[in-house]
Amino acid sequence: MNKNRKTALGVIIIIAGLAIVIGVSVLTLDRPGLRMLSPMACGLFGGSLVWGVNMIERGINPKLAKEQDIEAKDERSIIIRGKAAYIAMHVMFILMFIFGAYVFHVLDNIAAGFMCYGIAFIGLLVFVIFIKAIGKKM
Amino acid sequence: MENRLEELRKAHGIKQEELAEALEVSRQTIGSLENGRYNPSILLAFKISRYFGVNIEDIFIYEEEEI
Repeated sequence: MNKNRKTALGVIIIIAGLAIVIGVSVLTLDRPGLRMLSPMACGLFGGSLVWGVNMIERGINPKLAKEQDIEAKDERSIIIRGKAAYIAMHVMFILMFIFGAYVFHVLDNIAAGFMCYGIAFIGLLVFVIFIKAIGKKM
Repeated sequence: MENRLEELRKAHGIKQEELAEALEVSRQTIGSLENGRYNPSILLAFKISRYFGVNIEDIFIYEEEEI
């Protein structure tokens, strides 16, 4: 994709995004239930837009399509993506237990809170060991 | 694991991009292989050896790692 087309596409996406934000704000003024669903609808729309644009671009530019296919099948990329997913999951796991500990403290359940901190700490230790093990290569 | 990939590639007068395209991997993977940052799967190792028409052992030099 050349620079001018990229710029034009960026402008169109920003305008579409702004139109959605303004449209949703105006149309859901007296519909709080619908407003709560609007982030999901916007996400769906944005994701579909990016997917659609990519599909069109793949049709126009076979070289890009081939590059994307190679990138998707590239064994090193697959390993990197797997590790990134594992790291994201692990961070989520640790944050979930830290948040759980906070909630238990607020609810005055100190024992459960400390159990959550303990699990989060063990999770953090495993995470550090894993990062140290995989950090040397790639 | 050390390898002679860069040496072989240069001897054949091909660019990283060309080798990557022939092996259906990304150019970054070729770079990582040449720098020794990444060890290929057995499938990719076979593809590389067949591409250059040599044995795997002639490209990849296995050394016992210190524990």
